[in-house]
Order: sequence, then structure tokens, then C-alpha cells
Amino acid sequence: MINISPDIIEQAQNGDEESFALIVETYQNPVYNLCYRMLYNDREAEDAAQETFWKAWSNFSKYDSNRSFSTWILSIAAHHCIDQQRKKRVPEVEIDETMEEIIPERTPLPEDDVIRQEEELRLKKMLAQLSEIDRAAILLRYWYDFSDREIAENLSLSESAVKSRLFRARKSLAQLWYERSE
Amino acid sequence: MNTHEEFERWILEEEALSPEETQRLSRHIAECESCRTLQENLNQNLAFIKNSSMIKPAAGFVARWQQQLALRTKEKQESERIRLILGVLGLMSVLSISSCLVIFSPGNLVNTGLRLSNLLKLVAINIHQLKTMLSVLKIPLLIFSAGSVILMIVYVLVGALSAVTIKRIRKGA
Repeated sequence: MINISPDIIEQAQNGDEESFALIVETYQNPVYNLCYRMLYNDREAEDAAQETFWKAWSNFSKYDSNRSFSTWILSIAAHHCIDQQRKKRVPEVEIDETMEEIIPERTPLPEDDVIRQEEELRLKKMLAQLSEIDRAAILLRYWYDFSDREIAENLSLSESAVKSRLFRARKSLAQLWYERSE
Repeated sequence: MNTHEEFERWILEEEALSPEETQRLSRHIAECESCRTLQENLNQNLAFIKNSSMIKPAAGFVARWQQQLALRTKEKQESERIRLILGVLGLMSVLSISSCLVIFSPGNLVNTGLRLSNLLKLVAINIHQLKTMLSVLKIPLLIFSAGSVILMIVYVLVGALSAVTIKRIRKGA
């Protein structure tokens, strides 16, 4: 996970906009990626990522410098996306349509595009079957290498709840592939 | 002896197994197709998630953030100003209401009553002068009183009629 100089964090905490812009530049990809994997919509992921940085900027005084900044910022993003998901509860069909609309907007080579589109749909289907919190837990564990304790802090859960959520999510993912392979 | 469910649990949990447990699990997986597929699927699935590419935002994310920051800061300042104005207005309303409550409180009403009775006393002292005045103004005062009584009766009638009409309208509704 990316790390940023404590001096820059301190300057941003003191209200320096330029230092915070540097933080945004450093963390835009992991934050946006988490938002995108949670929401599966370009525009909503952009809004969620911008909102995450606004919340971080507005509540920077609450940030404990003994804690990892990555954990803190991703925690804000995860909570925001979970709230957004709960508010909208998008039906599966709508997600599929959204994906088809979004993917052609990116312009890599055509064959790469097809492969990427297939992989994205496969991943989206796997993640879409999980509840918002289980999805966040899986993403934090396997994408960002968070420990049980970090996930627990991030999602405001107990460590045992994280273990049982990860267990349930893994079972669900394995069974989906089991069904596909049958 | 482990049950099939226990082996499934071992596959799905991330807890480290002892060498003996690992051996038992391997033996079971070699025999049980269901557990073998479950483990293969899980491993493939997790590897797929780990190896998936990171999605990046559209170019110019930081510039958009800076625009948002400027806009939101302005909005925040404006909403704080509105909140301040509303606060001042609220404070003024509270002060006005509390002053009214103080002025019209029972204690102050007694004082007002006492002042009124003093005024009446003054009137009683000057009653003779008043009598003289009344004898002079007798006829105009009588006309004025009669007019007032008639006006009062008209008011009462209009009030009663309005009440009856409102009742009828409500019943009709």
C-alpha cells in the first residue's frame, strides 16, 4: 500500500490545500478503485471518490496520526460506498446495462478491450452476489492486503464478525464458481 | 474422524492448519470430488480477484477535486453565514418573546391593576367635576352609548351567523 510523508499529512491537517492536493494525487487510484469495485459505475465511483476526499478534508482533525493514512482514507471510502449501495439497491440487470455502457468508453486495443470486458463482467458477477459489507471485506483483504484487525477497524466490526463475514463470502464465491463449472 | 463439513470449513477458513491436519485434508481432497472442486474454485477465484487490474479515475481527477474544494468551501461559508443570520434572528425572537412574557407576567399585571385603581381614585375625587361635565354632555353621551350598544349587538349577530355558517360548511364537507 502507498505511503505518504507524515510532513505532508501534517501540513494538510493544518489546512494546506496544496499538501492535500498531493494526498489526493497519491491516493486517487486506490480510493477510486475501491469505489468502482463497490459501485460498478464510473460516474458514481467518481462522485464517491470525490466525496471521500471531501470528508477526509473536512474531518482531518479527527485523523489519528498513529493510524495508517491508507486505512483511514479507505475506511471513509468503504463506509460511503456501503451507504450509497444501501440507498440505491441496484437490481442486477441494471448493473449489467451500466457495465456495457461504461466499458466501451475506455479505449484500449479492441482485443484487450474484449478480454478486459469479459474479466470485468466475471469479477462484477462474483462481487455482485455479496452483501455491501462482505464485498468491502473481500476487496480490502484481497486487493489491499488488510489484516482482520484492519478490516474490523475499517468497517466498524469486531474481528470475529470479520472472520465470519470473510468465511461466508469465500463460501459464496466458491459456490458460484462451482455452479459455473457444473 | 473428520466429517465432510469440517473439511469444507478447513478449505474455506484462512486459519493455518497443523501438518497433521493438512495431511488429512489432502487425503480427503484426493477422495472427495466436491471438496476438490470447492478448493479449486476458491483458489482460482481469489487469484482472479488479486490479479484483477486496478481501475483508475478519468484524467484530471486532482483538478476536479480542486474545483470541488473551491466550490464546496464557498458553499460551506455561505451556509455558515445563513446559519449565523438565522441564529441572530432566532436569538432576537427569543428575546422578544421573553420580554413579552416579562411585561405581561402576573406580577406586572398586578402592578398595572394598582396603577389603574389609582387612576380610578383620582376620577372618584374629581367626580363632582365629572358630574358637571356629564350634565353638559348628557344628550351626546346618551346617543354615543346607544350607538355603542347597537354596534355591539351587530357584532354579536355577525359573529353568531359566521359561527353557524362555518359549522354548516364543515358538516357539508
